[in-house]
Amino acid sequence: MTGLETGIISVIGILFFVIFGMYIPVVLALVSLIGTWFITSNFEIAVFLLSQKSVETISSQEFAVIPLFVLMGLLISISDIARETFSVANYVFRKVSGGLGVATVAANAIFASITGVSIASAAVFTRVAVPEMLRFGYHPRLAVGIVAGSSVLGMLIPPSILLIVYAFIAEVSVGSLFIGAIVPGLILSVFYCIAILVVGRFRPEWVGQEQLTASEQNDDMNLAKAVKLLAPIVLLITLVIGGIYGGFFTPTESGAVGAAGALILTIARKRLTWSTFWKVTVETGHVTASICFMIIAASMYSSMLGLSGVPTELQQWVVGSNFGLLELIIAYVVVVIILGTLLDSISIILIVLPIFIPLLNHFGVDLVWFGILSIIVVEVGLLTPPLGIAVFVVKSSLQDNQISLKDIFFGAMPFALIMLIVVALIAVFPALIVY
Amino acid sequence: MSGPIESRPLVLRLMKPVMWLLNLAVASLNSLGTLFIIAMMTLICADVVSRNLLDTSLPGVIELTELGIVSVVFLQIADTYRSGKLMRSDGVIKAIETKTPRIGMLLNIVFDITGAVLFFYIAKGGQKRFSDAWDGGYYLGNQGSFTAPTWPMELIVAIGSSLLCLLFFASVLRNTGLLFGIVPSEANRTRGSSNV
Repeated sequence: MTGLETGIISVIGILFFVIFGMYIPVVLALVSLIGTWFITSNFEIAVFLLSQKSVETISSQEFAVIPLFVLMGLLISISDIARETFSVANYVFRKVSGGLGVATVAANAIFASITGVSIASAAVFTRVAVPEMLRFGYHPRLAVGIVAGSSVLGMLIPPSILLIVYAFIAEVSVGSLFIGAIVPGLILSVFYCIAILVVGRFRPEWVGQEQLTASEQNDDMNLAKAVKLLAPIVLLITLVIGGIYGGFFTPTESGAVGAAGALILTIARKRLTWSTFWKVTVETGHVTASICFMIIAASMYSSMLGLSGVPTELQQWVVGSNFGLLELIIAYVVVVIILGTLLDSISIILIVLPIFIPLLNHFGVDLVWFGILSIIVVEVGLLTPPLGIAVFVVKSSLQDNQISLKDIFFGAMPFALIMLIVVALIAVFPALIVY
Repeated sequence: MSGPIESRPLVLRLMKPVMWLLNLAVASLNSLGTLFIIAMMTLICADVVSRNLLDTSLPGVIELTELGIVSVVFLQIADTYRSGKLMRSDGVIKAIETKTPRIGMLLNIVFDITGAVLFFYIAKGGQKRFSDAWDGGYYLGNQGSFTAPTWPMELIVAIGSSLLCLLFFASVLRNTGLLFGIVPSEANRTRGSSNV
């Protein structure tokens, strides 16, 4: 059996078991154990490598970044900051046609810079923003589409767990990936806003009559209150992202400071009891263990592939078939979008990247640039049927049963297209990220 | 409800206290892991403060965080599985479970067996790593400034993966029992909750 065949068979096997619901880290690790056993024809060595990998992959101070940012995000989620940010953004955009939609995107972008998971924002903003938009006469599909679409900002705008996972798999620094993601995150948010404003301009009936009622909309909000609500959040963003950007903190330190800051903020807002704090920390542990084990398993898998010589053979095959970088990237985008209809973001990254990264190294591709591109493409999968996780979260958090899953998928479609436009933009102008 | 409890085989009657013990162990490890996360956050923040205000780094923070993160993962991994947070793509399996529950059960048995096998070998390798670290006196850090032995972490890896192996195995037993109607299904509805 050639390396190429081994690679293809292992990938198809992995995808088969994963889609049928076998635990993803178990699939990856077992395939690697068996693969290593066949390649070395020594079971003892395979078991030794298995246990060595399970400890040594994550045995680095850098990995502590995962629980710290998860803890920060979960604390922020219980602190009602999303609701407050939304009402501030609402106040700012109250005079614009489509202002509520723009406010949702803006609040999501701000919320995303203090949390790292899309799913959290999809749930929160479905409860906060959708009823408000419906009250002002938004088209239901537009209302849920805006929330589902802008929830992907959580994983793109740093801090982001997905960026951290990518960083570990591609072996690039978490800090440079975070910094590289800021501009694309802002571009995507602005594009979303433009799209909503265009709708407001040409289909004003879809964004309701909010202009008429703008005065009663924010009766208890004024400039002083808005500043007071926003100030601690801005401080936290400055500390966390600014700390990394300015080189004051490593990402791990920035995570610790961010988690402590979120803790203080949550206590100050009287949102924290001992029992909620314990619950949040236990959940942090679950998320950490789950993600770290995925990374461990993916690293076993990629070193098994390395042993089998698959990456080298694939490289030779790509070179031999006159594939250019552009074709390769287009193929990658297509594969990821197809997988995205069935699998979640982290799984896709962990299954596909160990195969693609060695190929990209051959072309001398900047892995930070490729990382941002990957994250956006992978996140398109959150919005596409049949299994778009963001859409499901929106559906399960909706109080209004009139809006069907189909409505949300339709509503989210334009936003998925905008994401692809941003991907193309980044592909054509790498300078947006690598500056 | 099924027949009187006395008519059940001894194994089934023993299962209850065994599961109670196993769950207690998993929950204790989980609590310890939770404390580790809080300790890591505090330690790193203390280091940041000390570096910026007092201009000196705290010794050992890097080494302790390194040992800490591995420990957190293996202290929590069993409880992560128990609370249904171990990653899987559950769209297809859920559809199968509702349409043909018995095939769903069979698939789950197969998947849990693979999990038990994997974590058996991780635990086995972990056990060897622990005894190597213990006998060899392995440590992290530099002699003279700060050193921390690695055996506690290796012990946690071995225990954590053993417990997860046992949980997988218990789930295989329970689902097999359900499949063949040996175990009454009412008592086992609480899938993923604390009483496995």
